[in-house]
Amino acid sequence: MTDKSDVKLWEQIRRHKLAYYYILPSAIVMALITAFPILYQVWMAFTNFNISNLRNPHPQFVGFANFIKIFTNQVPLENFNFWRTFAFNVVWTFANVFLHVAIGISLAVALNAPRLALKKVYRTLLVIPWAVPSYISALIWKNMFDVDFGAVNQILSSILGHAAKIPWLTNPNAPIKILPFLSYAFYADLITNVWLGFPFMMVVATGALQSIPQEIYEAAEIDGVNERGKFFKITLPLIRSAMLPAIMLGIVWTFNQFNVIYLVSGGGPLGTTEILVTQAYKIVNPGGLYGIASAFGLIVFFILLGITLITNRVTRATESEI
Amino acid sequence: MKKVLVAVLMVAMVATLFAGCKPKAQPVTLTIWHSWSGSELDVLNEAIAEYNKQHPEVTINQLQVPFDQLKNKYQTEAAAGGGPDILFGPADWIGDFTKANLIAPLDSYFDSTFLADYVKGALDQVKYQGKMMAFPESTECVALIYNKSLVPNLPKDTNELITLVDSISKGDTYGMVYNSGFYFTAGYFFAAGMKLFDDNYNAVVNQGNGGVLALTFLKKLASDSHFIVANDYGKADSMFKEGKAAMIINGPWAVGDYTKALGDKVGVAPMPAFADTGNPFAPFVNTKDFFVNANINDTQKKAAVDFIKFMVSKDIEQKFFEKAKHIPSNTKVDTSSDPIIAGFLEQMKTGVPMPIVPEMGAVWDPMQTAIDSVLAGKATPQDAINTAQKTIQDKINAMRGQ
Repeated sequence: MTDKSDVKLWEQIRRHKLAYYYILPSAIVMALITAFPILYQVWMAFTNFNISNLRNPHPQFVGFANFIKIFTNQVPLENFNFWRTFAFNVVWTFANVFLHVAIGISLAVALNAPRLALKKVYRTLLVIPWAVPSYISALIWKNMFDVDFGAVNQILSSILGHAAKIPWLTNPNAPIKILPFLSYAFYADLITNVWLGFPFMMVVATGALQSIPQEIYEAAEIDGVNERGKFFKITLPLIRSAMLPAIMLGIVWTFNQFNVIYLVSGGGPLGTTEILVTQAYKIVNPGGLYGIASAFGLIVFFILLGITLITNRVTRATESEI
Repeated sequence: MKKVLVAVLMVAMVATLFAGCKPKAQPVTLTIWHSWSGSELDVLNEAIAEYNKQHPEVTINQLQVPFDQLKNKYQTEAAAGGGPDILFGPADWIGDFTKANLIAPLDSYFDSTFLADYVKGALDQVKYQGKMMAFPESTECVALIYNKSLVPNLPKDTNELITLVDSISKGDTYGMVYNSGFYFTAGYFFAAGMKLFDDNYNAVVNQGNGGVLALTFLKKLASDSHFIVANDYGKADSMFKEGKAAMIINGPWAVGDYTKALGDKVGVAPMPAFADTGNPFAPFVNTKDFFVNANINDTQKKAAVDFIKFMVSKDIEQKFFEKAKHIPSNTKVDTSSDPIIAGFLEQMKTGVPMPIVPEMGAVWDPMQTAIDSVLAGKATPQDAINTAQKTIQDKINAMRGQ
């Protein structure tokens, strides 16, 4: 069987020789800048590669020791806990995407009202968080969350009438006792990332809403459907196909949202807001443990592969109907 | 005829190529990475301008990197064969850099007459395994910096410090902003009796009760609302400059900017003694040094060393001393009659020299985690110091390839 298909492939290549000559240069470039680093990393994951091997790349082969160290939390780095980080990463992703979608669709529906004045102005203002480079927003939010001088606490103080000293970024304890693993910094990161993330969902939802023919709503009105019914029976089902790929994308983006975590809370305090990608970064810098970091990278890759396969199955978003 | 003409033209063209070539010094470009800011950066720029007057063929590119990223940035880039020609940083990087072969030994570039002008202790600190791996520019340690208009009398020990801070805090003005970074507060750990390493440079931070005593003390400060205890340099710095904090722990590098903001209200004194043991505050004493990249060729190295010699000359160190309060390594610099420097020199008497072995690199983050987790109420002082001991030793073992 395999022989036959191999022959067939070879036949095909021979028949379309010229086409393969055309793609050869880019194939070589891809092999050098994409395939080679990936294979190199796989090799590094099974060695004790560290900073002194950068010039003299002859580390020792250590088998699965790096993976075992990661899964048993034996990595020589402070506050390292793989399972806590993984669980936190999942909670972080779903909390964010849920809020992005909920706020995004609500705003899109509100702004889609037919006779709303200054619609374009509102839309432009709401898209601004998306237009500003995210690391700038993240740094501004970090300063706004300062316990003594930050804008967030100052505004809360003036609303509450007494000094609000919420230790947003410094206290590793949980403000909500039934969620003991979510420190104050989680909420700071969440607020920042929701602010950054909802405009994308809003834009996608707006596009989808505008493709719904007005006649359907008119027909529903004649049948006596109220506003709630219109939203749940007409709007939501009809924007579903446009929202699902965006949600999938949102899940992968948020799962790897390095900027916000690293710049707002820095993974701290005491590692309580570390996600997998920020942890991987810290293993290299300042850790200098390249071998373990490569193993960690592979683990993250398989986790993301799993998530993608599951969401693909659930949504069937990448399946073409043609 | 035509051939002759062509030949003449060719000769003429080739000749014009050489016409511009008078015997002139080759242009050199030097890159320096540092973490200077404020007055220090001003002095650096002045120094570069002055150096260019004498050496117009040298272009110097300076890049400011935040201090907490400088070491990693250099380490990563130099290990991959790149990096700047010159790096400016503290002596405790020497061990790590020498082990990874990232910095060049400098013995052959400095003769004994040149070295005679420099503080011996500073030159001793930059020696690692018998070789001079960096050139010292200044010496530093942290001490108590206070605002004379807010502090009536100096405390003798930590109990007096707490009473004093409670009495001078009013409304928006805090008695003390206490930087809980391990570098700043290490003096009390050593005063309490903690040791970092045994003779073989294995970690021993949880032996004896020194670590526990010091962590308990920090916890006490943090629970007192008149202290701001935070590992946030920028915030501590700006509170002191704005007069919102009467006292701060900081080093000589910061005093230049403080005197700019507060004038002659700035005073420097040794930190009060540790009340539990009666020992004086024993901060790390360290030099700040110029390093030369091991990756560059000999011509570049010579150019780099020439610039370093200029930077540690009497004139430039005098400027760093006057404007940025660097404590000079050059004994020719006139520091007499400066009360601020006197305060730091007094504090240095009870300090401990910063270890420059690579093992020192394993200490910082685990000790910081111990401090942070105790201050946050996440761990008892005993648990925190035990965890630190384990992480430091794990890191040392990983470093040694065990």
